[in-house]
Amino acid sequence: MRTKNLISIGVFLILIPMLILLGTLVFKEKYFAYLSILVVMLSLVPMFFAFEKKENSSKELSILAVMIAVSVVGRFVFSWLPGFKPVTAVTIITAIYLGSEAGFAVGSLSAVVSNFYFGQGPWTPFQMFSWGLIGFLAGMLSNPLKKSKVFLCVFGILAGISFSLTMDIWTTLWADGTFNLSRYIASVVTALPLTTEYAVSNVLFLLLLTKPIGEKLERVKKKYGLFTVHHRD
Amino acid sequence: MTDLFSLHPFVALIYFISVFTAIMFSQNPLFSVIALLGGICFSGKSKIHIRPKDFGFGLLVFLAVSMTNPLFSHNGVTVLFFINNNPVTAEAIYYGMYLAVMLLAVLLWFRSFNRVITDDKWLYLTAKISPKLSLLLSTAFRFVPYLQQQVRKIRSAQKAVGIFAGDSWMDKIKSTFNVYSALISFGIEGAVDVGASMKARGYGLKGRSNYSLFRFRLVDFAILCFILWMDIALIVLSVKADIRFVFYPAFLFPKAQASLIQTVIAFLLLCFLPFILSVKEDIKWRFLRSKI
Repeated sequence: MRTKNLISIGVFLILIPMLILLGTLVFKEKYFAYLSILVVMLSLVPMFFAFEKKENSSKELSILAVMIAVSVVGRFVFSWLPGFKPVTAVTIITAIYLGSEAGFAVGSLSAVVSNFYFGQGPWTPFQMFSWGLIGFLAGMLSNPLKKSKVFLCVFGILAGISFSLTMDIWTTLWADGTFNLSRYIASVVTALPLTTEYAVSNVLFLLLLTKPIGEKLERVKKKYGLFTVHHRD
Repeated sequence: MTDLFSLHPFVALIYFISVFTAIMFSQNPLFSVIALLGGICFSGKSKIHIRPKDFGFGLLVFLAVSMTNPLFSHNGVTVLFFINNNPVTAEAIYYGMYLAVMLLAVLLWFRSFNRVITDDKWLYLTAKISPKLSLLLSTAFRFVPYLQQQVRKIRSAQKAVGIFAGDSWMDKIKSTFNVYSALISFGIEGAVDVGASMKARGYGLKGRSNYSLFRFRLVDFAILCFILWMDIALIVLSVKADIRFVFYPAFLFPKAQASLIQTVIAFLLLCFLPFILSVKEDIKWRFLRSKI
């Protein structure tokens, strides 16, 4: 716990501000795109470090692996419906039932694994960041999300919108090198149909999948005593 | 064989990082063009084919980016005409073109990256830094084709039984969800088995080895040294002299000086390194064959 905190503090309070300061002072405005990739990658480090240090049984790891694979295969299964990606929903559901860290791992690694099939690019760290964060937050809010369907839907809509908005920040930075507000607004507007589709598909997936997947995860958790306290199995 | 594909993954990774960094930091259209040409030559030479369709796509991206840039950016002194009282400047158009070439170069090099750094190489690299993460990734990579196979089985079973066999949209959506749900149950149940089996076969014990072994040979070392040499040359030269091409508010060409030419040569060598390596293999092949 100590080292984990030290690393998060080091990265978030020292390394990232320093990088941004250095970037703005030395390189002037042009390099925001590159800088943003570095910042996003750095912000993933503490989470992965925590994951590395935490003790997990082999069963827990393989369940996480299967959830990653399920969200990746979902991209294939639903590929005939453009924009319908169950990644967000699977991440949220995993997070609700297995906790924040599991949610983060499934969200961010689904981006890496699925991009081996759909194309890696400079956008990979951004997707890792967005999906990982969605998973982490869903894990924090797991109790209200479990209880209220309305809240679950709202969360799905917000997750879809924020995912799209984050990726638009990336598009803008990528195209201009700086944050050009008019281009950002333009890309948000052109992405509006896609954003709506993300939101709608998230709600649909969450409504249809939360119960079946949740029951299965709950059952496996209870049956094998997984994802509870630290133990060596 | 010493082309980019057969190099040690670490060397290949350093190579790609160098190229991406150099393309994004150069801020000079000449460098973007060199990078694009280097990418095209390498892709054309090796197994990464460029189809006519890809050229069409590239042209489309080029047109879209270079045309839209003047709409968002009104910097520049040479006003050509006005759209909705907003000036359209020559500088913005040229900047858009530069941006488009840079974008295409990065996209092209990422395609090569995808082909060269395959998942086993990626796992080899991550295993050094984070063994648990790499184990999780490798298990997930294994599950993907396994589950895809299962999707086909579930689907054909459903068809054979005759549920959701209609052609209507609703049936198709329902059947997809049904298949997906069945897939998830199957996956989670199987995962517990896999986990138990992993434990039984010694997961977590010391001395785990990689599926693919990569030896760091002398060639790898030599090429790594060459890449780092070019990197250092580029950094030193660009700090020493300003090689940037300034677009806004008016064009400002970098001074024609010795260090500019040196930088261009270093960047040329860096971008064409994989192409040269592949061509060298071809020549060697011919040479050896003609001796027989």
